[in-house]
Amino acid sequence: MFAGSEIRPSSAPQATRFRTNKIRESDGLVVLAYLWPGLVGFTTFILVPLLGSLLISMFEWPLFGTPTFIGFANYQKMFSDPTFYTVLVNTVIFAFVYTALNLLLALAVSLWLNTKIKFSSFWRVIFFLPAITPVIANALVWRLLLNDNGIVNSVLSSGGITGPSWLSDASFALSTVIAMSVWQSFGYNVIVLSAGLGSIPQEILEASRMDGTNAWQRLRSVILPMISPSLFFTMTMTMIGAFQVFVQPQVLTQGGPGESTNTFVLYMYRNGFVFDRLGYASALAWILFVVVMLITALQFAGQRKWVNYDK
Amino acid sequence: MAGQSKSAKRRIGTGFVLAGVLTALAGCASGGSGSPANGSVSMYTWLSSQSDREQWEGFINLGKKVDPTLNVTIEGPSFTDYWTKVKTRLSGSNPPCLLTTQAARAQELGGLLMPLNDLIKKNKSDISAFDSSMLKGMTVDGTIRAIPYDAEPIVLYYNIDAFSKAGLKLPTTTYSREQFLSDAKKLTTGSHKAFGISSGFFLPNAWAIADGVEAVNNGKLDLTNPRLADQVQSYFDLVNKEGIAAAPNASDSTDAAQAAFTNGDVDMIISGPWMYGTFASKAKFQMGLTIVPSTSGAAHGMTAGSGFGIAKNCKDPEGAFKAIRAMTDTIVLKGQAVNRGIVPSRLEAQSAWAEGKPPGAAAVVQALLRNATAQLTVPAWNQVETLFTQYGVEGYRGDKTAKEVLATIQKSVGQ
Repeated sequence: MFAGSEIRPSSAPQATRFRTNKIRESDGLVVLAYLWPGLVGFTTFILVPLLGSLLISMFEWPLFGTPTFIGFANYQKMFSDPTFYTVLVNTVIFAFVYTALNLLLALAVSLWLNTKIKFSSFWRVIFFLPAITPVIANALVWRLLLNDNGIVNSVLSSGGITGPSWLSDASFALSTVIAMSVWQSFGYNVIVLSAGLGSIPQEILEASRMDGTNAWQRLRSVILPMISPSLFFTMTMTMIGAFQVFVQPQVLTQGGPGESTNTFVLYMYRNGFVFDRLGYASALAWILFVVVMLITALQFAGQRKWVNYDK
Repeated sequence: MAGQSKSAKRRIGTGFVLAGVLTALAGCASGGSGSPANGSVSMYTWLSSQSDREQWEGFINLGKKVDPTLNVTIEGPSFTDYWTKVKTRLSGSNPPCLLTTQAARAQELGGLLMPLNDLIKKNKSDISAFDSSMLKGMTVDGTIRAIPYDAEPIVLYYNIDAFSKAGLKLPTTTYSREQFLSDAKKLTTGSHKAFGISSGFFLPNAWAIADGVEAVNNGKLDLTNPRLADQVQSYFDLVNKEGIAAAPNASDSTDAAQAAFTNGDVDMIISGPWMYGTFASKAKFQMGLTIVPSTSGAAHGMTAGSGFGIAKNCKDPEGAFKAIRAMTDTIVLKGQAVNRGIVPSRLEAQSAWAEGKPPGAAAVVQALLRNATAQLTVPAWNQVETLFTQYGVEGYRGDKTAKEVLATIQKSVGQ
């Protein structure tokens, strides 16, 4: 009896552990079975190119011809290249202003669509249309609109206003690129934020109304905290996308006037595929990777203070 | 236990099968690589449109009259993509043997193109029959890298109707800058500008060469040359000081300025003779041709043109050179001059370009070719063009001087 009672407590957990281990092993295989294509894809298309570009960044590597190993010379050159700092600053300005405007506009439109307006689905589609249209097509249309003799300046001139040179004046060019980019992409965030707003329980909003809150108080103290996960998602993704901006400056301004709208990815692309310096372009790509990673890490660190996952 | 194990196995199996199917589908979605035709010389070139294809087929079909065994297959991307893709294409499998290049890009593609001097000597080809400026343009490190098929001196097109209406004398084989400015100011009325300008360095370069000033000296980029700065400044001044042209945006392609000319929105434009047929078919006015204005008024042409070269890793350079000889024969170039409107690089074929054009036009081209300079470049010319497109906008607007713009570009390229 005593011996039996000694055995029972120790054998029961062992059996449970055995069963748990068996389940975990088979679960692991199932997980692996489903993951292997993704892992193969990740390794082939992300990890290997990432390491490959790190290797290429240590070479003077033309598109055709023999590469020459130069160690960290590309990185040294980069830090003494004034254009590198210019495009970095341009990209940071673009990313922060574009993300802020994008989220503000998307939030405003989402709140409006969430009121009891007529044809809200129709408006949602209208706002989403630019996001599903190719960026290059949108940029070409904007270029026609904003040319010195384009429709915008023609309209302004009919009102007695001499419109500026939106694409060639350094004071306006970056703002124009930002405006076009916001118009192009805020529709996506409208969809995400609308979904977030739609998931707020009506009882909570009703309760806050009964407590006598006004619209601003409800937005600040109820709605924004409730959609903070959606806001965090849109902010992170928009910021990452913003650092990769390429088509808009390429089509609208070619990076000009001067370097006023030249962005990191545009400069990287030109170095790699126009100026035939794959090594230098890879070094630029690595710096961009580090910058984007740092900013994303900061966003994740900061989210603890304002993102509310409680339901 | 047994049931659980079976279920787990089934899940694992389903997982692998599903994942495999999805991967296979994903694989099917991507395109496969084609294999080149055998027994022929493959040519990699720009193929932006059906018109480009017809041009290359014209060379091949006419070349068959010279050499019935000529068998050239063509492949390639758009003109814009060509300059990047040609480098990667040669690094890949089954690289093509024949390449095309512009004289302005010969330095950039120098590393891809085989020196042809030995083949020229071995085959006793008479290269003195070709336009010397174009041969100079195709020379890299002292060796010829491509045989030119055209030699197109940059010209100034003008609207004869507009000139006549304004009571202006029609310019012919001489045209001074003073006269050009005087004419342009009379043609500029209100928002209507006389002269069309597009971004990029090609046209300011032709403007400078018309006065005998070059951007490349002894194979080195010489943008800080004060004479070049003066020339480019005088070109910027056409917008900012003289007011005879509208400032281009950096992203404005040459098409925009060309469309403005054929629509009658501007009265003059600088372009190549290869555009004659296109302009003539679109313009609803009588079109004239003159030289790019120079200070003295005398003709000094900047030649642009393209040619056939052989890839450095070509396994049959003899066969490729044989094909080039056939495609640059006098008969072929004459035919292409008539059919496609190219100005042939062979001197004895150049008269063919005059067919179907007013006598004045041919005289202008001949005058320019008599005193022509190729658009000489450096390997980093792409960077020069790109930076000038970006910075030139500030020059046209008067925000920066030509000296500042050119010094910035020289410094950037030198880094």
